[in-house]
Amino acid sequence: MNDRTTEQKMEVARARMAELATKFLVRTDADIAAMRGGLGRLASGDVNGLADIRHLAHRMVGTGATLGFESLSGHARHIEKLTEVFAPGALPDERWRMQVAAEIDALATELGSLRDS
Amino acid sequence: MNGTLESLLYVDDDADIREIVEMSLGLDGTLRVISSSGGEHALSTMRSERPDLVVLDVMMPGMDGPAILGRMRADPQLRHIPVIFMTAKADPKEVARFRELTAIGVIAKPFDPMALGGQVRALWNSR
Repeated sequence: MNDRTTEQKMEVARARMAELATKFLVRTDADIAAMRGGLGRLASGDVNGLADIRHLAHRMVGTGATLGFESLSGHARHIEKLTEVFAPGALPDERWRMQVAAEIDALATELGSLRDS
Repeated sequence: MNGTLESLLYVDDDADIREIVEMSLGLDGTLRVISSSGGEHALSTMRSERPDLVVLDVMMPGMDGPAILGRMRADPQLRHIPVIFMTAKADPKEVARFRELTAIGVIAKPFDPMALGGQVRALWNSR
């Protein structure tokens, strides 16, 4: 039987959105670690680190805001913009890596405060 | 106006967003919504499922949204299917570029899950 009213379906959807929001916070923790890993790879000369950071940030921008985490999405947008300064395959310098590391730290701080709230 | 919208394929590499979109568009119970993570799978799903409309995320690893649209327009089985793009970069320049690529419209990310169905139907009806 599938005779739920639209209002009942919306209630189910809202509940599932809340679950996905919790899952997103867990995933963001892992994504932050992966971004730091990407920076480490760039520091050791692996150009793939740039594309990895860009992809993670981009996903975080769209999914975060859709789930109601505008602040996380905003930090991720800053990181994504920084990655767009370079063409794919480029090897950014240390100054850029420090800028991105600072943005990732800000993202991690925001994630921590969201978890505490 | 070209008929009723009955089925839609949503293509996005993010599984969570796919689930949200499927839920959102399935709320009124009148639309069959299927999804794909992208690439060749998306194209083969279009051939097997024959959706009325395809909604493509723009930035995906491997084959991005515009590349999938290019493949669709070169394929006699798929070239007629209308496409909407979803993107976090929905500035006027990008929207104009997507329309030049034959997209019927662009929906900005983030989107309101409760309003998404209305946005999709409005673009479908405005063709």
